[in-house]
Amino acid sequence: MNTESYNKLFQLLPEEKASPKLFNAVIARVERRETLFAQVRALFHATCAALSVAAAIPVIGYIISASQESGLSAYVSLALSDSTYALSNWKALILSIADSVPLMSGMAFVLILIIFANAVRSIAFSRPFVPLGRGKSMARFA
Amino acid sequence: MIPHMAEPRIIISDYSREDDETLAEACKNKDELAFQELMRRYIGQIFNFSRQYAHAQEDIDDIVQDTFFKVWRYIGRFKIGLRFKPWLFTIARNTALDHIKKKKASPFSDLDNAETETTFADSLSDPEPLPPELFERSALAAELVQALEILHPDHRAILILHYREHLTFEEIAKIVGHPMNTVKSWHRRALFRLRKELTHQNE
Repeated sequence: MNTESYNKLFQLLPEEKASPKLFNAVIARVERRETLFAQVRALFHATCAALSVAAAIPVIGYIISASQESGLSAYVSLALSDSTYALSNWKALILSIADSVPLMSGMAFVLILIIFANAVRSIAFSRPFVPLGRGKSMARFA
Repeated sequence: MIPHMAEPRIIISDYSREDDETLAEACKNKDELAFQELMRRYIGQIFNFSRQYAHAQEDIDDIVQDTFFKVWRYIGRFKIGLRFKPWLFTIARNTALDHIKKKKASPFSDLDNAETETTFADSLSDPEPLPPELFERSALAAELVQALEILHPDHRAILILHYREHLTFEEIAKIVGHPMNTVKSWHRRALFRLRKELTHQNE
């Protein structure tokens, strides 16, 4: 199909220029959204960190009391105080220690540590969204 | 793991020299300067494209604003290897249609009618070139604008995208969401009507 004449025709189509206000309106809208998201993210991570600290306290307390009840602290104390006995009966000692470890609360504590560490890392290493505003040309990430 | 803001992977010293696809990748990392550069390049074209779907200045501005906001919001869906321009115009067209339907600025039947006319267009031969004397008319630009008004918005869009934005029919088909043969049929039909309208105006 010979469309050369139509190509020429459409070059005559007048173009209107978009208002500069339109450009700025889009940027302002984008920046509002990103600022809000950054604030929500920061609040979420701060809440996670605070809740994990709050949860860690009773869990640690439970681990300590459970260890004392199960005899873990006694086994560990024996291993440290009488090394000769510990070395000669190391299999039985290890089994006894393993048996007395409060497993579930230990796992809970590890999970709380992971949540806390992730929240702190997110807060420490996230770049806050800094609106450029109008007319700024400096690169944000050099 | 909860994701935190990603470190920028693309370091750009001169945004104006980068291609669209590189800037789009930078936008995925929340690079606002890359986004602003893309906006500078395309805001005029999207503005004039939106004029094919709306007439009121307020509506056109809304379509343009929503289009670029959606580009920022959904830039994560832009796939590596694709061209940015057709993706942008796809968003613009969908945004324009949503806007029209919401505002009921154009009757629904008008938007649907374009789909029923491919059979007629298929039977047409290729349109003849425009007569050279047409280009001697001083008011041709204004007549062209008037002639385009009689076309369906998607037909107008196809002509603008092909002759002004130089997109292929394959790309245009993806933008308007119809098979390429349908787009070619609509293109032929639109040219026929346009030619008839322009030559008729001379009489």
